Amino acid sequence: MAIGPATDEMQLILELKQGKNPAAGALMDHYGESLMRYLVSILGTREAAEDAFQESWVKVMEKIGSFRGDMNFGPWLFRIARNTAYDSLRMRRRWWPLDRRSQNDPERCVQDVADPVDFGSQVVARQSVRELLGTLPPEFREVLFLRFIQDRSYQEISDFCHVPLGTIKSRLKRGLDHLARNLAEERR
Amino acid sequence: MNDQKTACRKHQQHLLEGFLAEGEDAKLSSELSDHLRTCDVCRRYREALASVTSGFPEDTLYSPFIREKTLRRMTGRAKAEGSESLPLIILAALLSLSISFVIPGWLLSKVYGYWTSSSLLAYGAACGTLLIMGGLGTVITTISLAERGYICFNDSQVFTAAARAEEIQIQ
Repeated sequence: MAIGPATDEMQLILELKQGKNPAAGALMDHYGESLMRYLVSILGTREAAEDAFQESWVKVMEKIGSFRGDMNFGPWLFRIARNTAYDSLRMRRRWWPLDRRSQNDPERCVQDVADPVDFGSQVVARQSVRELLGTLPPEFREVLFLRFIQDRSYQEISDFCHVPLGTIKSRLKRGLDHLARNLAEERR
Repeated sequence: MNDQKTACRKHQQHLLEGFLAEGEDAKLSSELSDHLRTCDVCRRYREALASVTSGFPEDTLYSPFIREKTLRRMTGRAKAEGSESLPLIILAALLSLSISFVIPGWLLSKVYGYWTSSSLLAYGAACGTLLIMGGLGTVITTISLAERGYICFNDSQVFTAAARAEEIQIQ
């Protein structure tokens, strides 16, 4: 079921509030791909993103009663997903401190965290970009994704992440510089 | 050599700022264009900037399989939240309590029964012993896990680490 105009989405949300699963399925089909990409950008692996994706939708189901009609469903959904992803990262850091160590150790990151979605047939160059992306802290990956993949403005990213504009710019700049310098080094 | 590095760094910063402002179509100053013609490092840096976004997955990530799994999980959670499973949970809790506390307590009270004729006193002492032993076991296990770094108590440690990760100079 494809979602057309906003009124269709409102209808689906009303049905979701009544606990109708087909409405959840339709909304999921509409937002699924972009939400999965966003979660991979934060969490770094497809498996972790899948888990956060499922958990996000469970939370959507739980909180849909409090969803007001005067706001858009998309940003609300992405905010829930963002909180879920960062909760999951915090849990991982708390209970598996090795993950935390790997955050600060690029060598470990390349082995453990990188390779966000390995389908086994990626071009080598793209693979190395991916591995380098894995060495960045999740907050940096998220900002790069929102800017260059979702094409959001700095102000939109700042509003969405509840982070000052200057921090967003700094994360983008440092993240890009890190990636470009390391890639250039690799291609030597 | 150092002068060359400093010059490259300056040009790379310009490339970066141009890329951030205008994307791949950033116009180059004549000085920068001249530099790029002669400097391999900066040329590679510029090419690398343009390819950075290719690191994000291009393949389809969402699938009917994920959809089904998510819908199942949503339905499962809704059911679990219902009161249907409450009797089962109470039964499991009682079973768990009896295995971990009532049965060992009863057995231990038989041992204490050798020293006292009061069964109440014997059972009370048995419960006290179990509580002390259990508490000690928990403390020792926690200390042991904390020493090995598997758990940490202080949230600030986590947030400090996260802040440090953010603030690290990416070199």
